[in-house]
Amino acid sequence: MSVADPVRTTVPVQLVDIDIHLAPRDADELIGYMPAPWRDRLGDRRRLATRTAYLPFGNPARMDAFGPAGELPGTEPDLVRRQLFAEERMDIGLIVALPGQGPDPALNAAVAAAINDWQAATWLAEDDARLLGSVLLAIDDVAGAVRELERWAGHPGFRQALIAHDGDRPLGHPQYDPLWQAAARHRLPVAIHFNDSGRLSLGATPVGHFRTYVEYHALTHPLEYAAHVASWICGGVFDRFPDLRFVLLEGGFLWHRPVVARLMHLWERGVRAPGAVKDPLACVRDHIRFSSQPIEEAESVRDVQRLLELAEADRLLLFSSDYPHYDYDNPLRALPPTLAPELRARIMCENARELYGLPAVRPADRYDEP
Amino acid sequence: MSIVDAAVHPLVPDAAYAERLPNPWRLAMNLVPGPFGKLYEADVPDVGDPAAAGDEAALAHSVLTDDVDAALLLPRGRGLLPNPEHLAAVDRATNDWLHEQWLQPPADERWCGAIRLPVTDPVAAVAELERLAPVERFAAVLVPLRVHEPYGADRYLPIWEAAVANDLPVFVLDDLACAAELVRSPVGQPIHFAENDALRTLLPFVHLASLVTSGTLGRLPGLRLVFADGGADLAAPLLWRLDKDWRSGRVEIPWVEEPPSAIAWRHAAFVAQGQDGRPDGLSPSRELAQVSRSGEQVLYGSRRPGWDAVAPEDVLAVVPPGAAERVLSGNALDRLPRLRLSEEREEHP
Repeated sequence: MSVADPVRTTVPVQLVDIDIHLAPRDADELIGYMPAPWRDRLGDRRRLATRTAYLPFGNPARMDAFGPAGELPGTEPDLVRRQLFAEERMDIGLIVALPGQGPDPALNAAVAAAINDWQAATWLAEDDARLLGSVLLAIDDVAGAVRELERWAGHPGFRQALIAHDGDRPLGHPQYDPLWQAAARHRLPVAIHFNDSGRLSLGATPVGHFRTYVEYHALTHPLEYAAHVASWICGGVFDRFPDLRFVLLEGGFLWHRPVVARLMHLWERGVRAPGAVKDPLACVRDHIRFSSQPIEEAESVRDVQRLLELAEADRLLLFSSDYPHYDYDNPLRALPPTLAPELRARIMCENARELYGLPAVRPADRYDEP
Repeated sequence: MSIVDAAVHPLVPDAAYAERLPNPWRLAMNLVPGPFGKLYEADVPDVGDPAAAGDEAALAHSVLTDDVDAALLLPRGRGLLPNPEHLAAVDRATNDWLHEQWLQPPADERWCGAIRLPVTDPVAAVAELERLAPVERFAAVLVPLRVHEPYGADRYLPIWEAAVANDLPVFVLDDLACAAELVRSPVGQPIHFAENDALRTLLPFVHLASLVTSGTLGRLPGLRLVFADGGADLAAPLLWRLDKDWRSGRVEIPWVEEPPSAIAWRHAAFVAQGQDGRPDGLSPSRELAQVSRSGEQVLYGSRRPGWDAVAPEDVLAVVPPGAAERVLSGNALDRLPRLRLSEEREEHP
């Protein structure tokens, strides 16, 4: 440390990005972390999730995120660091690595374990601690997911659990309690993200399937996340696990308030599940957080800003870029320009620092301007 | 003050079906769950309103107060019965019951009705619309919120064309449950009544997105939709998301030439609900109502005799300044031209 920059050895943490998609270079690298029989079984397949449904694009990534030799986005360490640390000026980021899933819970668990071993051996082995890991869990085997979470719970690089968006039942169902219990015990927030769908029909809604990617991408997450939020609240999950926290990634933010307001309205009129104690708004304020990307935008910036304020973005909303995907949000431009500086700081940094227990300063490194 | 009540839900008694349905459908109705279905029945609040139990005089007394000029009857059906012939027979019976019981003397002349359409058989739906459209006191058509494919699908187009040709708005309503419907969330069946009640408010936007992206609304500028189970508060957040994906993904739907929200706002309105315009579910916010365009997009509907009925003062607490008249009657009259003609209305034989 004695040779550190004499002017500045630490930098204040001002930008936390909670949704960064990094990946093994290719399927072979991931399979290398899998034991037999999975290594042999997958050795010839190369691709874990290649089913076609809605995506009209090829690799849905920023073109400038491909490496110089055509490396896939989110795989080339120098490029990733330069784009996140130098260009985006991100201080700390959460890795969200999603290899897809299938109908076989044992295979899903093996892939999740391999992703976790890969994170630990690569990105989390760096000493800069600017990229933190998410323990990927396959929740179609709850007992197995608890074991995988326990395997990493003491690791300093893993700061949250990560599960897929889908389930056989909304996630307040008591079948998931053992996992919530383990996550709460270890004070690890549980993030949720789309991860293909091995169990459910993609794009199915209560009134039939979406036809286009535009409809699917705009609405499927609000529909799914609203079902989970209502399920946690009405199922009394937060009464049972007061230390449990959820983070809903990439599903939007503003829709949640009308849904929760409706639950609150019902609650006040006595429409509540037997035994539920914590009211819907308190459940959201204390236990549920939302990532910002894709940030809500409208013709009237003022309307967006006012709804962000009414929906309590100052405590519930956490910035995310979705790097390196095509619909990436640039942290320098994502939020309405007229937002109050205090609210901006809450969204860009403070809410995430509180949720994940992140430091107020970090060591300066070569990506910082002198 | 002049009021149009755009959402009254009379209970169709079992006897209405027993008297009107031919077999085998009369027999099949015995297998259909009763009021409120069997799905979340235990949690439905009992508000002690005799009208909720089917007392028609009590319903008329509570809805047709002196300041109400007109009230639209939207009977809830018995769910999306899986056999289209069965559903068509039940809808015909419902419409006949409504016509005979509520839309002819000695019933109060302020009642008007909506024609239920059996959407799973578009040919039958169009036939039913054309059978009853000549009855002036049918002022709208009524389709179920829950279907097997969103409403932008091509096969529904003849239904919407017939509605436009007859200048009838399309009301969309969540019916009583039938056991053969799709699961009520994309991630499995919710457990509690409150979940189901909150989640269904998102479903209008699946239909609206479908109607926009398919080009249906572009082809039918005269199509007017009213979602009778609310959703006004959700319109801005969800339609903005749709706009964003349209901007980046419009190569997939090149015929959609303006932001989906702009198209949807022109065609869709929502019946008011008790929690509208209350960001915490409790305290009214006129500001939220303003962003939600409640002044233009919300219709007052009492929702009687439901447990979640609202009164005009509940709705007026959250309308933007100057919009009270529009929400209580103007927005409904804009969308229901047959109500505007009520003064010179002639009884159809």
